[in-house]
Order: sequence, then structure tokens, then C-alpha cells
Amino acid sequence: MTTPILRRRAARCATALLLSGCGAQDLANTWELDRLRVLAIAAEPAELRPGETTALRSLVYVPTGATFGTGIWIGCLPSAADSFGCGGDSSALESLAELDPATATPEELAAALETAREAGLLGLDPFFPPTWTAPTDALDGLDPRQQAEGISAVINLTVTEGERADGADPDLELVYKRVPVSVSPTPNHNPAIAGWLVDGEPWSESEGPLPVQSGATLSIEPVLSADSLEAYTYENTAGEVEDRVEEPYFTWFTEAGDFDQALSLYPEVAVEWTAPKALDSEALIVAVARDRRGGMAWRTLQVVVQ
Amino acid sequence: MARPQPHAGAATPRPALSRVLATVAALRLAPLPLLASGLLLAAPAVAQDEEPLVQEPALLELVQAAYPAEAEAAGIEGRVLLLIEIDEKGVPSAVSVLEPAGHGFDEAAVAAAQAFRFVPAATASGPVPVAIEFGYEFRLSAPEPAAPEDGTAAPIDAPPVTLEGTLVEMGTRRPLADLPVQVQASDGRSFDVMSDSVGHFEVPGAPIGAASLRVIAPGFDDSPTTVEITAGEVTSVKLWVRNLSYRDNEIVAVYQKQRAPEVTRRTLTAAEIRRVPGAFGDPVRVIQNLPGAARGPFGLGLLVIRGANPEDSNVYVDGVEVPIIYHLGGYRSVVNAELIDSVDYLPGGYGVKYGRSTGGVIDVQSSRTYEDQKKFTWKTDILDTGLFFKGKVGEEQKWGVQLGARRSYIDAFIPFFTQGTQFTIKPRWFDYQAKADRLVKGDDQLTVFAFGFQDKLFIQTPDDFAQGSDADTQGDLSTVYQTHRQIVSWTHRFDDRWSLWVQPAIGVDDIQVGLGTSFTLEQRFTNAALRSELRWTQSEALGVNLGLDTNLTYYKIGFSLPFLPDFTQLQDPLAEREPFRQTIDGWYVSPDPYLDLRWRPFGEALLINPGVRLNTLKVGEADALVSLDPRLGTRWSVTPTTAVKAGTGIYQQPPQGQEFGIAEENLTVNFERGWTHEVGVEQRIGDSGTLDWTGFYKGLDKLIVQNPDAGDATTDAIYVNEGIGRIYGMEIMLRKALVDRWFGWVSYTLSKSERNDYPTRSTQRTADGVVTRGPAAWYNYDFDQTNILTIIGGYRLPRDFEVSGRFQHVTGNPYTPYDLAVQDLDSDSWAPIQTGAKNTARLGAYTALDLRADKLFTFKYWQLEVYLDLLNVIRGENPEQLQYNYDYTESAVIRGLPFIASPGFQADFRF
Repeated sequence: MTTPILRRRAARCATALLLSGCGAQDLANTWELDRLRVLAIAAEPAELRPGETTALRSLVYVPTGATFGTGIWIGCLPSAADSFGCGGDSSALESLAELDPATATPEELAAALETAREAGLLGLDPFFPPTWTAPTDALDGLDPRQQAEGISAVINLTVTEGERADGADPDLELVYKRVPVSVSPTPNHNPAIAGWLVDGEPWSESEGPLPVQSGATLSIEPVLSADSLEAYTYENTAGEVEDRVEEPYFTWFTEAGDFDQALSLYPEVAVEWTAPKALDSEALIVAVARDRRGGMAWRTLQVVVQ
Repeated sequence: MARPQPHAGAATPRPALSRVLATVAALRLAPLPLLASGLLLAAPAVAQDEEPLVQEPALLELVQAAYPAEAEAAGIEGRVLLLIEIDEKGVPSAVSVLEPAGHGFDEAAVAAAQAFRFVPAATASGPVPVAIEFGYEFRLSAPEPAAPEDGTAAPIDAPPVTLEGTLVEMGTRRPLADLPVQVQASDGRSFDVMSDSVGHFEVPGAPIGAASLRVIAPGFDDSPTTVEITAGEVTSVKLWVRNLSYRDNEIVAVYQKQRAPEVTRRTLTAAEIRRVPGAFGDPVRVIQNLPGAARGPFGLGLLVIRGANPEDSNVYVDGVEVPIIYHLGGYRSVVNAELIDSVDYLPGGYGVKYGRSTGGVIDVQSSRTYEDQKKFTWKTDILDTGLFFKGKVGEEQKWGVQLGARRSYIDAFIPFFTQGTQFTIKPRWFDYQAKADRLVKGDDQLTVFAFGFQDKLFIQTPDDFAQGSDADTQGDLSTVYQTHRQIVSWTHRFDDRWSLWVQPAIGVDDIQVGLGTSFTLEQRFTNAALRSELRWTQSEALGVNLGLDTNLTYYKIGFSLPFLPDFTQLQDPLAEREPFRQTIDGWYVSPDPYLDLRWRPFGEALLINPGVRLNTLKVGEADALVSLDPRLGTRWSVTPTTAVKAGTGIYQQPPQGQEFGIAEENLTVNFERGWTHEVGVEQRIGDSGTLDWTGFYKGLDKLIVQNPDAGDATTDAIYVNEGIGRIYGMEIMLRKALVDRWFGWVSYTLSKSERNDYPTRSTQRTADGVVTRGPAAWYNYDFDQTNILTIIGGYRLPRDFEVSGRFQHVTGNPYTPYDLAVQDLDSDSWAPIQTGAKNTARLGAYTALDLRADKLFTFKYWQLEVYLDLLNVIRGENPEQLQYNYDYTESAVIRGLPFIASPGFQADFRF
């Protein structure tokens, strides 16, 4: 009783932090694009009112030598979600995923799709573009302040690789994101990355791949469009209306080379990227922007190492 | 074969050429950091009753043994190790041979020792019987120079003293008593005299002129010292004598026999503790090498006792509970080793004096013995540097004082190892101790003791470096925790049967944590504790202790965080946050009375030790929790060398920290409960070996677990007493005491610790909301280590040079396997999907060899010990934790500490 667990845990945590440098490991960094990855999902519009429909799109990285298989989209309200996204009965979706569109009859496909929609299916890449419609009663039961704050509907995407030539099991990625539903007077919009600053100088993809010296380190900074940093209002628990401004952040990915950090936070959004040693190699660099209100955007930069 | 005794004047002729020397040095009882071994657990309720000695036994009267004639004739020398049991009056009650030498030496040594007389050992309650190991050496004297042949006749009348002096041991400044001094005069004559009890000697009739003095005794340097004896006065000299092996004097083990003479308090001597590689000379760290103590990751010193979680074991300093016992990193205990007298390690089955814990207990006892000389110590190694003073002060030296302070400087070195990273790690600590013991003998004993420590950890990152995607967790991490205690201990002896011990203490425990600008936590626990015991000893056959263990704590907790107004949005990174600050305070009190009985119904062979403890807890205005812990310990000495022991008892632990929950003004959880059973055997092997075996089983129930039905945090109980557990196994310790230059022990623990959080529920829901059918499964405790083997050995080389080593092999800790995760794209994080049952996979075994070498240098006024610890000599990879990549598709082990060479030194000044 005189030694509450919290005190001991604080000491233990501090000690663990002290020694965390003992285990330098050779694990994959989050920025390394070397396997099937879902890098982003964007909904357009980014925030809905009840009854509105949004179109969903994803940024999926498929490594060289692999193929895209299928992408299954499902959605649900937060009451049906847990820390893995939308739960529920997935058997109908699994039967759909196992269906081969090339050999299935139209009747079989239609029946499977109908069953899957009833189970929450929103779309099936690459066949049916996903959309989601916010139920008209999504905000029922909430007080006006809560309705303005809104709820976060959940969208799950399960992506599988196509058949592998070596017979290995196709890779699988499970992701989810939220789509706000509210009656906010200042609904959110997706940000946009308008261009790049490379070592402080503007660079346009129209000029072709960015040439980089082998082993050189570049400063790469994404340039947001002028309207990306949105101002919005928030009614706090005291009933006061606050004016707030978005503080977006960026996640970084590359097929080669190394970043000095996997994330960059506004306003320090530039990162340093060090090119690989291999000559004449090309690499893709991706920046994904999040505005912390559900909005997402991305842009790619192709580089060639000389 | 007696030869004419060369002598001059009135020097006492010796009766024979042989000289019998007892190793009286063995009784120079330096304060011994006595370490109770894990085997103490087998006699739980008795061992915990033993009070520390405030007075070691001291030899008053040494009787010279007769040198066996046959051995003398054959030129044989020998050394006999005796075990002398000394009663409360200082009279040897029994003498037995631990290490025989044969040739008649054993009988001669025993006969002489039986005639010894001692100042009896004493605790704060008065004189107590003890047993000591005593080395008795038989050495033949060196050939004496021939008597002068000029026919010089010895004078009939005693001549005047012309030379006097004092023998002083180099380095320690201790007077050397009962040692022979040989004076070689300028005229060729030789004078032999003995120093008295204070090291003083006189030489009557030594002629004027140069004289050569030397001590001729085993273990001491016999290099001569020349003095000039002048006419008309008595020449005085202080003769500094070098001990050839200071550390031989440490071969002393005191077995306290106060109330339970058949219960042996097993000890590791100061010499053993200092030489355990990897322990950095810290007695508390040595516990990690004893049976039942599991190994914490990175050797952090987590108190994992018999598989229980660290928070289930309690730590005390002089009976006062403290939250932690190690500084940051676990390499240094928070109490200076110089101040520690003993460490009681009680892995289970302990008596009713200790409570509020279902795991083990460690009680660090401060030293209460003082040498005549004052001592100043400076110790430095790669971690910290410290100063310590110990000595008698005041008028007539009625007070013993100890003052110490240490400060780490490891933060100055860490940046060299973290270059190239984005983190700057700065761990710092300091500690202090101030203690005063009233040394006046009588019916009252008084001690005042203050100690404390502070640990800081600061992790700094550049402003433009992102630490995760959460805007509120950017910035530096700062952690500060500190503890301070002030203790007064008073013992009053009413008569031979009644005594009272009262120990009030106050203190404070602080924690401050800050992360970035949004997260802060400040906790302050202000404690007032009162321990007392009314002790009644009817006779050797019956004694009763009525005790009270009270703790009153006022807590104040303040925290600030980015607040989510809607509880249902806890997992939503898109939810808007508000700054939030709250402070809560309150109090809880736990006055626990206990009754402890010691009963010997059939003489000394059998001890029965029942006890009962009442656990109480009152938090604020909530109804009090009350429970009862009955415990029973027994010990039967089957033969003089064999003892059987057994015990059983209930141990209950109150809810801790965040487990508190109050609904409708009452606590929503109750005590956790453990029922421990133990049985064991102790067997003495040969002269200095012991074998201890203990088997144990602990059943646990009412373990506090999260309430899976909790919905609304404001009204539902977050925790419930639904979990059960079981911990069982056996412990073996085979030990060779530090006799005949080497010591060592083999400690082996075979155990299993597992628990089931929801054994009665038909469906299970994890924190993630996943529901499975059927009762929950048993799973391993986080630190369940099936096999723990430790082998330690040390050897004493000549000239105060020593080497030692430690080998450890420990089963790896369990972990929960994952190989898949779901990504939350809004927070850019991954939630792992458990692909196996909890804690079913295991890390690889830990195997390490550590070595140590140290050398003691002795100068006239001080001593210097230098040492070098070589850790992980075989460079084992030793997986300590499993680390996953971002999406849990890859994993790799975090290895243990690499090979490390750790030098250090300690300088002792006596004055």
C-alpha cells in the first residue's frame, strides 16, 4: 500500500528508457517500400453530413515482381468498431474474396456482391469503386455540441497480392481509417500537396526524375496548397467557441535510400533523404499528408541516382 | 628438544621452541555485511525475529594451546577451524571442529578454546548467545639465534626498562595484541617480549645503541625496524606492522542464536559479497544470485522473487518500507554499501512481522557496530563516486555516527555511446545517509537514522525531430523520483523477560514526469509509519511478540493532459482535445497488529512458531477492508548436522496504485491472497559446506484484474478480484564457506509461475473487444523462468590479491507472439494481432560468465583496493526482450549488455 504500483512502474519505465539504446536492431523502417503496403486512404469529401456519400480511394504500393490482387472495402459506425476497425461477420466478405471474377457467372457475382453489401461491403478493387453513405440517423441521440463535433465512421480496407509466381502465400495488408460525420459549421477538406522544395529550390515532376548524386543527402520539403491549412471552430466543454488551425504532418516512404526521420510535423515539414550508393538506380519517394481531422493527400517524387 | 632460551635480563624464558599462536585476528570483527541466504525462508517466523547485533563477541582471555609433541618433533604445522558457541555470559558452551588438522592439533585447539572467555555478543535487547568460526593456528617458531658464548650471566635483579613501544597494524591503525616482539640489540643479545592487550610492550635492560625490532608471528611482515636506544631515558617507539594478508581476518561468520539457537542465520561474509562479479560490491545486488531470485531484463535488479511480479514484493530499510531499492539502471542500491550490516532475503514463508505482500521481502539492515578507529571511505567506479564516514564521537564516545553521500556521473559518459542518435539521455542520481547510534550500554538503545535518494532521467530530442505523429507528445521526457525517510528507533528493556521496541518514521515519496508540454504528472506520498513490538520471553521454551505495523499516507496527485471530452472517443485520433488539469488528494491508513509465538515443547530440537497478522486498509471515508493472515513455521533439528523445516501461511496484499476504485463510497476491490506452503532440509557437509533444499507451492486467488464488463468508467468497477495463480518449485543451494582461501556456492531454482485472470467466465473479452468462448487459459507470469542456475567461486591469492567468477544460465522470459497487425491510418500506428496464447513463447536462454580481480594495497595510514569487473566475458548474445518492426511482421531480440570492463577503487582511511 505504501508502495503504489505506479511508483515502481515509473522507476521501471525510466530504467527501460535508459537502457533502450542497448538493442540496436536491423528491423525494417516504416519508410522502406519493399512489400505490399497501403500508404493512404482519402475520402472525398473528407467530412460528411448525415445522408451524404463520399468516394474512397487508396494509395497502395505493390513491389516490383508482385501484382495487385483485390481490395475489399467495408464500413461501419463507431459503435460496431473496435481497435481493429470494423468487426462483425466477415464470412460473406471472405466468400466474395475467394470468388474468381474471371470464371464466376454474372449471377454468382451479383449474388455474392449483394450478400457482401449487406455485410457492409463498400467496394471491391479493382472492380467496384468504393463509396460510403453516412446513415441519416448517424448523429441521432447526440446533443448539438456533440453533433457539431461529430462521430468517426470507420472504413476498413483489406488488400491482397495476386498469385505469386513462386507459389508463396500472397501478402496481406489490413488497414482502416475514419471518416467524420458531423454538422460542423466548418467541415474538413482534404489537404493538397502542391509541389516540392528540394534543397530549398522548387522542383516539378514535369522535369522528369530528380537526378541525385550517389550517397548525397537532400532536403525534401512538401509544399501544401494555400488552402490546406484550414481554420475551423471548436466548441469546448465550457461552451466557448475556439478558433483552431490545422497542424498537419507527413509520413515518408521510399524504395531506396534513408530518411533521417519517418515523420515530419508542421511547420518543420522538411526531411533529409540520403540517396543509395547504387548508380543508375531509380527510386520512388512518397509523402502522405494528414491534417489530423481525417483529411489525407499524397504526392510522389521519382529520383534517379547518378 | 628444548634448547637453552636465549634471553637477557628479566625477559621471560619460553618453555619450548614451539610457539602456539591463535589467530586472534579472526575476532577483529569488522562490521560484517551479513547476508541472509534464501534458506532463511525455511524458518520464517523465527529468523525474522532476530535482532541485529550491536556488539560483536570480543575475546577477553586467550588460552595458549599446547603444541602436540609428535607434531612438533616432526616439524608439522597446522590450522584448525573451530565452531565456538558462546553463551550470554561470554563462556564457550560448546566447541566443535569444522576443519580438522589432525596430528593432535584438533584436541589441543578444542581444549584451549574451551577455556577462552569473551565479551558476550549483544543485540539492542541485551546479551545473546552466538556461534563464531575461529581459526586456531599452530606454527613452529623460527630458529633462535644462539646464546652468547661469552659467558655473560643474566643479572639476578630485573633491570630497568630502556625501550618501550606499541604495535600498530599498518593501514588499519589497530593495536596488535598478544604478538611476540624480538629485539636484536647492538651487543648481539636478543630480547623476546609479548605485546599486551592494547599492543604495548616493554623491554627491560636493552643496551644503549642501535636495536633492531621485528614481530615474529605468522601472517605478519617480519621486516626489522631500527631504533636508537639512548642513555638515561626510556626510548619509545611505534612499530608499524604490515599484515601479510589483511583479508584473512575476514574469515569470520557469526551465527546469531538469540531466541532460536537451532535456527541458523546463514550469512555471506563481507569478503564473499565484495567478490561477487557483477554485483559492484553491493550487498543488495548479491541477492540476485541466491535461490528463488529470478533474473530481471538487462540485470536491472527487478525484484522478481519466486516468479512473482516485481510489484508483489516489498522492500524495507531497517523495517521501514521504501518504494524501490535500486537507482536508475538497477546497478546500485539506494543505500550505501558501507552502511549496510545485513540484508534479509525472504523469498516466501516469512513471519507475521512482514505483510502487505504476496511475494518476497527484502529488508536491508543498517550497521550498528563501530570500531575504535574512525574510518573515512572514498569509493569510485564507472557509475558514481561516494564518501562515507563512520566512527565514535562525542564525550566519552557515546555516539556512533555514520555519514554518507554518493553522486552518479554516468550521464557524462552516455553521450559517447549514443552518438549518431537523435536522443540525449541523461540519468543522474544521488543518495545520502546520516545515522547516529547511542552506544551507552544499559536498558535503553536509541538510533536516529535519515536517508534518501533522488533519481533523474532526462531524454532530450532536437526540436525538429518528430517523436511519433501525436502533436501532444513532442518534446523532452523528464522523470524525477525521490524518497526520503527519517527514523527513530528506541528499545527499552524492562527486565529479563520484557522489552519494548518502538520505531516511528516519517517520509515522503515524489514522482514527477513530464512529456512535451501537454503531459505532466506529479505525485507526492507523505508517509508516517509506526512499528513497535512488545516482547516477552518466559523462558527458552516460550516467547511472545505483540507487534504493530502502521502506515498512514497522505497522497496528492496532480496531472495535466490533452483531454478528450467524450469518453467514447478515447481511441479516436481525430477527436478534438482540450487542455486539462486536475489535482486529487486523500489518505489511507493501515494499522496492522500481529502476534508471534515461539514455542519449544520438547527442548531445543523442535521449534514451533505460529503467528497471526490482521491486515487492515481504510481509504478515506470508505469502509475499511480487514483480513487475517495466520502463519505457522516449524523447524526440527534431527541431528546436529541435519534440520528439517516446514511452514504454511496466508499472505494478503492490498490493491495498489490505479487498482483503487471507489464506487458508492466503497472500494471496489479487496486484498489479493496467497497461501504458501514450504518444506525443506538443511544439511551440513564436512567442515565448511552446507546443502539446503526447499520445495514450495503458493496458491493465489482474488488477484486483481480488469473488469471486462466495465462500461461506464464513472460508475463501473474498473478492476475486480477474479484472477487466480499458482507458483511452485524447488530451490537448492550448495555452499562452501570462505575457508581455506576459497569460497563458492551453487544456486539452482526450478520453478513454474502461472495465472488465470478469468477462470469462472464462460466468455472472454480482451481489452480490444475480441470475444472468445470458454474459460480463460492459464498463462505464464511475465518473469517465469524455469531454470535459474548460478555458480560463484572465489580464490584468495597471496599478497591480498583475489580472483572470483560467476556463471549464470537462466531460462528466457516468456513473451506473447505476434506476426500480424492492423494499421490505423489516422494515427499511423499498428495494433498487433495476437497469434498465440499470452506468454507462450520464450526468449532464448541467458548465459553469462563474469570475472573479477582485485588487489588491496596497504600503506601506513590507509588502504587502497583496486578492482576490475569483467562482465559477459564469453560475450553471450543473451536475448532480453523481443522487438518488433512497425507492423509486427519482423522481430529481433534486444541483446543483453555486451562485454564490459568496469574498473573501480575504494580507499579507506582510519584515524
